[in-house]
Amino acid sequence: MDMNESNRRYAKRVKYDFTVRFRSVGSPGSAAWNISILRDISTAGVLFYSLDYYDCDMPLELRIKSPFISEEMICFGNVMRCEQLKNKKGVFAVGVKIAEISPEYRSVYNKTVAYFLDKSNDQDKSL
Amino acid sequence: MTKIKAYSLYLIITGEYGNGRGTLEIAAAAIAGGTDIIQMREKNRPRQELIGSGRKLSKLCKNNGVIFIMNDDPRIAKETDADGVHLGQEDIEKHPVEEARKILGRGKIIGISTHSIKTFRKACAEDVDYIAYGPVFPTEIKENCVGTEDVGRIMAMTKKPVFFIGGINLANVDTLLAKGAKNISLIRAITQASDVRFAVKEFKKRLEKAEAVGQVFPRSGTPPV
Repeated sequence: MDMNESNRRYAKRVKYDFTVRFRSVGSPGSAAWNISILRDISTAGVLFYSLDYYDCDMPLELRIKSPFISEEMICFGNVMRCEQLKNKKGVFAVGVKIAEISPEYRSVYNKTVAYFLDKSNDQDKSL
Repeated sequence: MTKIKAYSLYLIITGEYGNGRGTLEIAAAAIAGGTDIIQMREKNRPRQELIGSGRKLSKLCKNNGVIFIMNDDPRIAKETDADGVHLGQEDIEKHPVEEARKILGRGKIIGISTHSIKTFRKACAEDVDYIAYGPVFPTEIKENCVGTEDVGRIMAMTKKPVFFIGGINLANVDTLLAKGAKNISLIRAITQASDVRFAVKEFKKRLEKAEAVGQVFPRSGTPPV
């Protein structure tokens, strides 16, 4: 996987530990859902860990939990990077850029990111 | 075979102790906090429900490099692709260790609960990969506890990983670790914490500190407290 700097997100990220369900779309056998935890989130995209390797640009459907709504936010994105973790053998860190999300979910998504950014800034100030 | 590291934190998740939070929600926060092992322990739930929840939890753990153990039933452990099964003393009557091993195979983990030196000694001779011992401290449901006096003796009896369990909290965990315990198993101290991730991180810090001390004082056992 190409891991050059252009594949990395520059929007400010915040740690986030809600579940994400994901599956590849548009390829054979893509219907099976997988589940993991978002390690961080930004307005541009998300990062989670997976046992499966995903090719760069692979389209994924994501269902992200937010504390602000009971249902999961539905969005689609593309894999920007997939790197093997150094400390966990066989586990990959998957970075996904959000490409498509409804205005309703975008609003909740942005509110979620803003809330956790504020929380993280407050924690930084208290240190 | 998935290897259990020394100084591991083993979280047992039971829906009824989740303060209204779901199993996946607690697991996600605990994994983010750094738990090493998660066991799903649900009593009196329909088999299909256990398999459904177990499969999700199993995937969640595997995707994050965390060991997943199913409680009670080796067949459900196999169907959920768990890394292993945990057998209580009552479960062994239904599913003896040899039967569990036959169902799961050699590459999987089998753990067993013990509540006295006698049952612990017996477990040492069984084909199991770890042994849980406790309750070391009184709990809300179990007043009688084994205490910490025998921790050194227990540790000397086996090379298998031993998980001390029962009533462990942030106020007493250091006492237990100072006696030579290397692994801890937690339920309510984590599942009922207001911030699960933070609670797991705090326990992990204590384990890391004990590991560092253990490296400075190897074999001689208890470091000066």
